[in-house]
Amino acid sequence: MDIQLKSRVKCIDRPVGEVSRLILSQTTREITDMVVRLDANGREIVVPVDGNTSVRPGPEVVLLYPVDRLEGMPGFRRGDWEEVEVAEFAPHLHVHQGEVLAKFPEAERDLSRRRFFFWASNAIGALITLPLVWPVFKYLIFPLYKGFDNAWVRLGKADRLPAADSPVLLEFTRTPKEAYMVNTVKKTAWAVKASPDLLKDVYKGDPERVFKEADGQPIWENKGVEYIVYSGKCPHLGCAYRWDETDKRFICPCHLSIFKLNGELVSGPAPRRLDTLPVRLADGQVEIIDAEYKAGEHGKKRIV
Amino acid sequence: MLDIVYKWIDERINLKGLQNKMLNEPIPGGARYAYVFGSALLFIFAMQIVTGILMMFYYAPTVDHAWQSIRYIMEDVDYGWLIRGIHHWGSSAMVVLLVVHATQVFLWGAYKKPREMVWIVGLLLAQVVIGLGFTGYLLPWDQKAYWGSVVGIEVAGVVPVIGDFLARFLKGGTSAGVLTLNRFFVIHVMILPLSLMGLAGLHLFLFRKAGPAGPYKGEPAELERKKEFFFPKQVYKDSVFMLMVFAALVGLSYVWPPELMSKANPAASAFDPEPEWYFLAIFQLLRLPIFAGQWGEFVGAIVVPGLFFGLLFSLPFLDTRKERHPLKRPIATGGLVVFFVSMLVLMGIAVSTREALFHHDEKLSALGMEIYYTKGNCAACHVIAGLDEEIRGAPGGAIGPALTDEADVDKRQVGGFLEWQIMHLKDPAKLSPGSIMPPAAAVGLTENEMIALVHFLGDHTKGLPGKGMEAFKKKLETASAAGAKP
Ligand code: FES
Repeated sequence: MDIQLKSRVKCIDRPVGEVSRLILSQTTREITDMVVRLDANGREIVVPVDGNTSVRPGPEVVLLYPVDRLEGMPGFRRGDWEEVEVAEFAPHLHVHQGEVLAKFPEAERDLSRRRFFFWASNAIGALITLPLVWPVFKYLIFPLYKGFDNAWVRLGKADRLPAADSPVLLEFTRTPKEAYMVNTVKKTAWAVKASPDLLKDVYKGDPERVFKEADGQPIWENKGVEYIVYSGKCPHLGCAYRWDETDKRFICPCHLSIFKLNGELVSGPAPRRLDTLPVRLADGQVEIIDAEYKAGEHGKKRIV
Repeated sequence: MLDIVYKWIDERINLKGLQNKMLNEPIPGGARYAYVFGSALLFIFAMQIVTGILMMFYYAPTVDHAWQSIRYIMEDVDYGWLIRGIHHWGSSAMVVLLVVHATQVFLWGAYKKPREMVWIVGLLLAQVVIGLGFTGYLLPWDQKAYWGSVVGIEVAGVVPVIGDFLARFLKGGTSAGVLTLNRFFVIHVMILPLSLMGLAGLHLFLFRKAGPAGPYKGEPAELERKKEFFFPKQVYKDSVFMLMVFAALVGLSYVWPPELMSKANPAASAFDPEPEWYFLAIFQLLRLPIFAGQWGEFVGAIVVPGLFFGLLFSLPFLDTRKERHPLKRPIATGGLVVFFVSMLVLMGIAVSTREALFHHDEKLSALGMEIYYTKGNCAACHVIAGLDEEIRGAPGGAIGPALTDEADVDKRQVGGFLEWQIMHLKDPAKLSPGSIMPPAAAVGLTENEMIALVHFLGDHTKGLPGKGMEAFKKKLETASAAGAKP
């Protein structure tokens, strides 16, 4: 039979008090002691539950020794004990939350020791994670900033372009090596065989004429070529725009940016004029460098 | 600032209480380094998740790009070797620590009442870890991966009745290829990791319910007096060990980065069926004559390991004595010793036969070359680009597959190379269904001649050094002249 709270406690000679708490060993998950509140002075003492303890119906706990033995037993100090959760002790004990206490570990009283181990563990955690930060960052950004591809790409035979000042959309195929495989992408650009007036008009600005590497090294200048090629992407947000033959202007269907034949913005949300590409004539073929510029920005910033 | 956030959350969900519940777990007898293995396993699992996710940034689970993408990770991407290295070595480390963890629980009798469920879930976890190792092995899609996994799948195929279905299910059809890689990928990165998380959560939950077993000896009152909370000292000890594991993984990745062999080639007649080291024992078991044949394979590959795990699962019910001291449980401890010794013996045999089977032997290769071009007349049907022209003045026949790349097959683990080639020479149609190549016996090749031939195949890109080649050609000429006479 189990010891219950509020049971009367008797020594062999006379009654002494009642059970006020039970004490559990977290190692064995058995009740090892009980706290007895003495009738005489209300003092609480810790009494071991062992072979000398017997439980009788009543309920009544009988200690099989005389009352003098209780003198030597330690007083109950609440701070030495902690409440344990019901879940932690076995159901066969038939006790409820708050009735059972366990010894608070002696070692855990020393706060400076706890603080030392806490910081030591944190330092070790940092030793494991911090060395990974840089490698993981480098690993993830590896393909982000590649150099530009300045290879010349054939657009088509020059003599296939119609009379001066009427643009045509030319499709070309690129096969860039992307990471671990060769990818095939179809791209477009607008090409114009330009009259001297148009050439002057378009190439008057430096950014339209001179092309530079990311580090500022000039790579090409559109000089002495009678062709103009515009990147097929609208500088607003990258849509494919069209040529409107009746009004002689480029129109982007996405947000209705309108550009003149010389690339200048007439109206609409585009932040800048059309992007000219480096162009040259080789073996009767129009060739370009397939550059791309960041959409939506005022300046012409190369990204591919 | 952090304090304010903490307080804010605490007010709402009693963070303090939760934290106390997690951290103030009493450990009978106090914190010890003996208890670090479970936490270390959890740590490696976390590392595997992190490195696995990172690899998925670049890995492509398709047969035409898996290998290239791994090569990209290893050779191009910054620190790709480190990420893959930690993942590769982490998988081995997980198996090692798993064995250590389970062995300790076994020796300390910690599987006994009331911790039976913790033990059983732990065994399930072990199987998930093994499954992760097996499925991950295929993903790089190199020769080793491909052939290792094909052999593994075939093992599943020997199960009676459902075997064929199982093998087809794993392969996604009749042969290992496009869908097999997809299936292994999804099992490796979704199904098993999710199962592992769920089971690990359950394992921990059950463990906390039942409480740590504590040392197997010592007075309960004494252990109770010396108890400590999980936090901070055990946490500290766990972290010290985690740091050691981490340093070991990084060190191993640096010294021995995981390799990537040539791309998987299902047509290559040379393969290397060696599995990961932790499957070596069972691999060797299957080589024993008693486990030959379909039923033998079933017994060796399924029944024996099945019985072993069955025994482990029923252990807490077979052994219900309270005694936990390993020296007072002679049967259990003795069984463990027998188990380890036999595992080590099997692995030792597997490793030593592997090394004995193939080594470069110039004399043998030269003999093999002679057989190839004369007695075997292999050049009638096969091409060895370059060498044929040099020796016979004309390329070989095109009836059989070219053997030009045969020598590029990895030689590090060539046990499989020699064995397979010999098996193939003896009965080509058995290993390459539909092959019309005549068996070696029909050509009159002896066992030794076959061995020489295979050494030549494994060596031929080196050719013979200048003088040797001249002498060799002369010898061939006289041989063919003699052959032309009658
Ligand atoms: S994208 Fe062309 S106008 Fe917006």
